[in-house]
Amino acid sequence: MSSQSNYHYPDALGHFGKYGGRFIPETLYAPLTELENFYRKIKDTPEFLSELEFYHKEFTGRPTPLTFAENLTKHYGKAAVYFKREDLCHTGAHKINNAIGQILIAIKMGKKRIIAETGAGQHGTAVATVCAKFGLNCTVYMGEKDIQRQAPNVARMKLLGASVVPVTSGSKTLKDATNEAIRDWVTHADNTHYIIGSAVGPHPYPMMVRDFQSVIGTETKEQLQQITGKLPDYILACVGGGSNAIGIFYPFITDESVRMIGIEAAGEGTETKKHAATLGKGSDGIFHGMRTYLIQDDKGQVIEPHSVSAGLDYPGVGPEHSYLHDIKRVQYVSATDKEALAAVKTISRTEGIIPALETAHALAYLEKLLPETKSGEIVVVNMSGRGDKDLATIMNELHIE
Amino acid sequence: MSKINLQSYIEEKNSKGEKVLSIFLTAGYPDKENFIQLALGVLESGADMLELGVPFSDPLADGPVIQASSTQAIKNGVTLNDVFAFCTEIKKRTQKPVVIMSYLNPLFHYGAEKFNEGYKKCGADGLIIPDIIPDEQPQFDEFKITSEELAAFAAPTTSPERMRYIDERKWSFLYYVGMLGTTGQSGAYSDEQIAKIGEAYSKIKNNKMLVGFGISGPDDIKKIRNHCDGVIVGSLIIKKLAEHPGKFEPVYSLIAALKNALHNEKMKNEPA
Repeated sequence: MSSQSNYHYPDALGHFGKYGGRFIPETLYAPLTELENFYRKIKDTPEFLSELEFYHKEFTGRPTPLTFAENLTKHYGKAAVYFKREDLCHTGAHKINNAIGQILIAIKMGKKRIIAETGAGQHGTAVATVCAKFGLNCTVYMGEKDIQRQAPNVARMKLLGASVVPVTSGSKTLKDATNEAIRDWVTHADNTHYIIGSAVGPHPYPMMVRDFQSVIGTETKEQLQQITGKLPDYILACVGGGSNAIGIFYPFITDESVRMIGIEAAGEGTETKKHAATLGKGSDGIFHGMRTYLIQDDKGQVIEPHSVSAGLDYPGVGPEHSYLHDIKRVQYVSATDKEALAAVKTISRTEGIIPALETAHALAYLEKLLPETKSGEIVVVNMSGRGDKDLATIMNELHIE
Repeated sequence: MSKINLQSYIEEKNSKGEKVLSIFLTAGYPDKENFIQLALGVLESGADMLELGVPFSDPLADGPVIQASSTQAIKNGVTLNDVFAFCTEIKKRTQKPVVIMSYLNPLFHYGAEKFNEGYKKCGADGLIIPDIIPDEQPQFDEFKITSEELAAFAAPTTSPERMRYIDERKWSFLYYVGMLGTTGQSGAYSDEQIAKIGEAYSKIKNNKMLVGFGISGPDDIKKIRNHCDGVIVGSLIIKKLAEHPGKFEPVYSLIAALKNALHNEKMKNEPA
């Protein structure tokens, strides 16, 4: 796994600056420490790395291509645009990179049962997939509202043999599904591993998920080097919890010439209450076991965010993004529902790739960025997932007949 | 009225052969208007100590019963300012300790200095924060609350070394999570769980240990009472309130029954 020469986060207690850490009931201290110690012990061993590489090659479909977006590049006549094709991973998104890594850890730790939370169902599907492959019992917590909104993924998880538990507490969406998964883990940590779906939660999760997702950035660097002999000038990725973004950013953090931009969901607009722009509009808080930016009201109660994309609909954000935001290493901007939907149509028709609604937020930003770029510059967009799961929403919103 | 030192308070009870019954209420539940009456009634019915829960949207350590009461309290408009006001009023009318229980985020958002001021003014005798572990305590330093006013937690998953580490410091009390999982789990305490509690109790040297989580009635209390300095009951009370809308009597008689189970005359020489 890649390491940075002068960027050493998190620290021993899991802090990224003041963010991250462990804000948890004492009951979880032991399982989290056990996980952290185990993970640190094996993560860089040749055996583990070759096993991970083997399954990535045989099962995930790695390395994923770095595709030159020729038509789009010609259209703007400025920087060259490349897509890192995580949409071509098995199950259709980058989520499987983390699911495979974590299930290998879980198996080595002797865990028999896997739990996960899911919002749009992409992470749930990835976890159900690896559980089927490695023969582990799988329970996925999903908000009742999301179950209704994401029927195809619910069907996929069930077909793969997972049990999908509807969550009816709180706002019945991703944040509550995460609460329920943590509650399950508090009760069953002795035989159960919790595969968290993004670079969020208590230490060591943000670090571990980042490490497993950083294969995206590592491959991008090598591929672009081969094609152009250069580093990219810009890297774009959408940010919900932020796992695909940290995965592509991390290996470039110390390459100072690389400008990195994270795109959050502005929903109906950041001037309205219906958005999911945690870094743009949120404030310092403590949530899901970590200190991070949080969308909350003036009493410190967590507010349910809004985005047309269920995968960006999260009131928190990975603590490393909070840190990168504060030190201004990454610039965080946002794209609205409308802009994302328009980008889905544009990219489908110019490049022959139907992106996920989440990914479309990053793609939407190209329209603002590209006119500002210069010919000869390079922009890489993390194509984090494919849009098949969103077809019903897309067709409905775009009124395509 | 002066602040009660919880450790001395529990010690004093213990020295009289009594164990402490601490009752948790979600502040402003079932409603704001009658809450003070309920709280005072709970203390008069036999509770030795009261925990006022600050409602939070995402209470990780709590099960469905307390979660639902928390959601309702938020709907009732209960804020930290209300909790301080409740505490001030209750403390005027009781000699017993009242502690505030809150997840960290509402306090954090309120601001350390402002919180400290409100906390001191309202006369609360202690603070319980279920999502802060001793390792993250430095992030709480700015609140300027001494560890002697804070409760520490330990659970069946806590290793003997960590138990020693936690017990090195003096806390207001040690909150022992008797049952793995969230609050209000159904089912009676098993012999194995009781053995774990006994084991923990025998290791604690510097603190008073109260056992909570999943206490389902007088029978559980009879099993636990010889292995602790007191018990904490929450979900059972909230459930009773939810089952009898508009009536507090059933809660009061439940508390009397719990107290009775805790103070049975055979307590001292009963087999473990």
